[in-house]
Amino acid sequence: MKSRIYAVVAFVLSWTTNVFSTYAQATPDPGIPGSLPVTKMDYDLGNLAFTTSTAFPSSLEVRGNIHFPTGLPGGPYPVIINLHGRHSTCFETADPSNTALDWPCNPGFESITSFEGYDYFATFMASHGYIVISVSANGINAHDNSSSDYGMNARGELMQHHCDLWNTWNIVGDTLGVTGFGSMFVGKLDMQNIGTMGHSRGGEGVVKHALLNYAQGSPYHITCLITLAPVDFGREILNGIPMMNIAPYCDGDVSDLQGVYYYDDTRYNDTSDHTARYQVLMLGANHNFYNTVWTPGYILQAEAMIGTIFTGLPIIFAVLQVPLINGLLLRGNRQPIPHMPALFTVTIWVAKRLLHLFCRLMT
Amino acid sequence: MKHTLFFFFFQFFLVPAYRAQTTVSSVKHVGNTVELTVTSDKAFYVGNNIHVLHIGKTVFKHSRQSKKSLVFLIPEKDFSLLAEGETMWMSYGDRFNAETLSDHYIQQLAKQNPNALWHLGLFSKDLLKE
Repeated sequence: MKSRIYAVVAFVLSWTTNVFSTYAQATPDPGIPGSLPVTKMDYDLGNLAFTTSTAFPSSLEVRGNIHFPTGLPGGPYPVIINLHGRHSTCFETADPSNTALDWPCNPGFESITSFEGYDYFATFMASHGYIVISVSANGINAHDNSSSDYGMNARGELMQHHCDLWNTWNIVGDTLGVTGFGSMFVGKLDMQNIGTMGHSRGGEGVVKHALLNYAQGSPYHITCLITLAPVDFGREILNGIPMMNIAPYCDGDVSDLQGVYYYDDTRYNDTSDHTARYQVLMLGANHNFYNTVWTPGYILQAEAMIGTIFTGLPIIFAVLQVPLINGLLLRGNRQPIPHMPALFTVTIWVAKRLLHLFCRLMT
Repeated sequence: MKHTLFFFFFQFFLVPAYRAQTTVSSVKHVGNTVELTVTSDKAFYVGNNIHVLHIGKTVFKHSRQSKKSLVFLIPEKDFSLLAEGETMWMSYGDRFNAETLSDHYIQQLAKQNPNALWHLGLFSKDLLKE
């Protein structure tokens, strides 16, 4: 009898191993950098270079960076555009810990480069053959809370303005010589294959941008969209574009995870809309650390270690339930242990407390 | 080892938690808007959520922020409708249901959430300085 059981177990194990190994071979690990070397360049047309058509109380900077495969062989490349969220906009040069929410920055202060906080992601994607643009939006952050829509239309307009600029540089090059790019990007960007990612207020910003682009007759094709820990103050409805919302479990800023509305509000509102939608709850992730400029470097290692421990423990607790139940509940005369339900409850409670304690340590 | 662990954790009980003083420092007319300024001795967090001012069951969500002050922009006609003696409080984010909260409960919440909720006293139109 035992040998039969062993044979069945061996068969099941080998079958599942084969299935998983075949699947692993068919799907490349998305966490491995691509083979292409990457170059980064910046552009800055000025702190007050763009004025929105909507009544936003300040002119805005036109500044950003671009990551692309070095030498730009072939092309055109699919494009990714990132938009950061809200953070202090300036820091004092003499005392970088002294920050401010002004735009433009006052004398003695410099701009905080929040748009560079996704360079790690941009480098990674460029190594896989994408052109990745990151847009600065400090001018909006400094004034958005007093505007009726919290600057969301301005974010959409700013994104579209960058698209217009890149479209020009893609067709005729930088003929005005404002960037130093010359003709190097001519024919290299596929403006009909754009993915956008917005973090936090930038999340609602990229949704607004997609809606604005649609309202303008879709001069660019937004292929897909990611909202990362987004706000959804305006309960915007976006149909027809594949999207993913990422909700960090330990979000201490947008702590109600309101971005889930992007998924919920559009799931059934249009029966003809069959585009893919994803909702991801990211265990152990907080709000800010997706942006490395917002990540306090001196405690990063400790945070990472604590994160591993505190998010790992609940999983260990959960896994332990199986041997606990099998071993304790049915041991001896195979009668249930009277206090087992209580023990189970306590372990789950401890696991949850550990996870919440970890979340409180993060912002 | 036991003693080390005991003293390590005991120290957290010895250090009193610092509580910032947060008050309504001015209420004044600017054009057809009433600007209500909330000031603290600790800088307000600059983040992605919004600071919300609650006066009774009415909420105000538009503001200007500087380091240690938030200036809420209240339309004059909304200000004139506010009732005397209502609880004023401020929250970071809009996740608290003002309709269900008593003054006592708001004070309790403010103690439990010193970085997310602030009890600002009772509202009076006498606060308004022309």
